[in-house]
Amino acid sequence: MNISTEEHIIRNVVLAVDGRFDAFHIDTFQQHAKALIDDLVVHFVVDLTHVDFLDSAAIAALVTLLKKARKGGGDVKLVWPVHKDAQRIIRLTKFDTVFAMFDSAEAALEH
Amino acid sequence: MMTKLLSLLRGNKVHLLAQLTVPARLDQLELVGEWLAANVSRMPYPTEPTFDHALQLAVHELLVNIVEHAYADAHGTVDIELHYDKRAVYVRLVDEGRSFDKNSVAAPQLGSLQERGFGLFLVQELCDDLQYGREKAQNVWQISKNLEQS
Repeated sequence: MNISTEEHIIRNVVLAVDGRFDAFHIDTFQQHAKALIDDLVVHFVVDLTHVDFLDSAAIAALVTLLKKARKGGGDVKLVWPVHKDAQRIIRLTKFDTVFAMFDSAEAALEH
Repeated sequence: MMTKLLSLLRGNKVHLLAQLTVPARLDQLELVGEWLAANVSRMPYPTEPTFDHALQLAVHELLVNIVEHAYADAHGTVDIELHYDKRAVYVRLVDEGRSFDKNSVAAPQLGSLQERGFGLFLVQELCDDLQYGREKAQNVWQISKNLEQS
């Protein structure tokens, strides 16, 4: 009898952002995201729990990441911001229907 | 002059609350947000945090638009005026960059993977009125947000 084993490990990376996530700060986010994509990561959780200000440029950066992740067979899950006004921006632009949304990074990783 | 014009249009006294000129750069966004918050809190009409946030984000999106499109790689400044009356807050932004072509902005397809076109969409959603005009080689943006809503 021959037994072979294979182990498949899926890398999930949590990118936690806090404070202002906007046009001025997206370069830092994009640099981190690019380094991970270059490292062949395709499964991302972007934790927005502590983001209190979110603009259209930040949303565009998230969509860009989602496109790249999907191209590699992966995905991007988002953790809802606690801040109600930041939540409102995600709902107004209906990106809560584009991204899988979770209440915590743990919940996103378990899903 | 702006205050007088607004007063005429609104049929009641419109007050100039504050004015500010900033370099058209993204590193000014937070400062402008703080300036807005500090001045809105000086009005005799109290506002809710959600109102303040919506107004800040609307002005923020217009500023980003001015920095990235009107001036693109050029240097310039933006004049910001904050007005109010008993019914609304008005913000006017003036720049000397390239004129705005509304046809250059794709209408957002909500629920799709579109990346651009959400800035002005958010301004319209968060405010009660958005006007754009080209006056004497200047771009003039004006938004108003009613005080009874937040």
